[in-house]
Amino acid sequence: MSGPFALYVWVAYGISLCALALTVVVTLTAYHKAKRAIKDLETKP
Amino acid sequence: MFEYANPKRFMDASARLLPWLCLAAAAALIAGLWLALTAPPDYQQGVTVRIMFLHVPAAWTAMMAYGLMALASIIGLINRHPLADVAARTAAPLGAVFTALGLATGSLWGRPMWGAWWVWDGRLTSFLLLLLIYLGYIALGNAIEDETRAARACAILAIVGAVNLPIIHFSVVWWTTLHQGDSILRPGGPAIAPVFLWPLLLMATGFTLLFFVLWIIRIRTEILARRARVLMLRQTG
Repeated sequence: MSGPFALYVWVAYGISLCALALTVVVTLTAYHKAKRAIKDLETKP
Repeated sequence: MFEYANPKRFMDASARLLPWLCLAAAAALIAGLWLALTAPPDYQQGVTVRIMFLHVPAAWTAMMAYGLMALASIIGLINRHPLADVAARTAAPLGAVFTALGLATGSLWGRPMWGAWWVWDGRLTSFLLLLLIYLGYIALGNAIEDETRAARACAILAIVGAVNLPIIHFSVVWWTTLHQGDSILRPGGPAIAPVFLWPLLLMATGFTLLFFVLWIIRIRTEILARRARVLMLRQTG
């Protein structure tokens, strides 16, 4: 991609993909943490 | 729908649905991104037209998320379904992310096309207000310790804030704005060429499916966290 405004396009895609990837990672981390907490509590004597 | 408001049934049904939803979201996003990045430059906007394939789906998803949050709030307030409050509260951060993305990509498009990062016109201002409502909603939920009171206060804020949705939608009709009017959902059909319409629709589908995937995972997380709290109380008490 070239042209005078290509940088704006790359920045827009970079920001969007990073933000969405970060949202996915944060969501999945919280989910696995909650799953592990339940597992630990259920196996606790 | 109310049948799945039972947390146990929701967990079972969502576990079966999630893999398919993930696959559909990934497929739509990959195909959408491919078409978006290979779309030809517009004769007026040049390559900046490709920002539209992010900006418009992000804005749509942000508004849809708010609509769903307000609907869940109404159900939570009237019917007291156990999952309605959880659904509303978990949708807010996702809605805020999509709103922020809509604003950021709009700004990145506005600078080369309008010559300004920001203008205080009806559409932009009402959309900024949507972000502030989302942030206010999240802050209110975190500020009140009692879960029932927090859910009620948040539900009222979400329902009152829903007034902003038609304002955003009709802002380009009611006021003279720099923001362009409707070009897809308009009488007479879409006003944009198929070569731009397809990546836009695919990206919109991808963003919508991604929102639902993340929303379902967040609801499942909250259900598990609440169950963990109960188990912990039982073990300590």
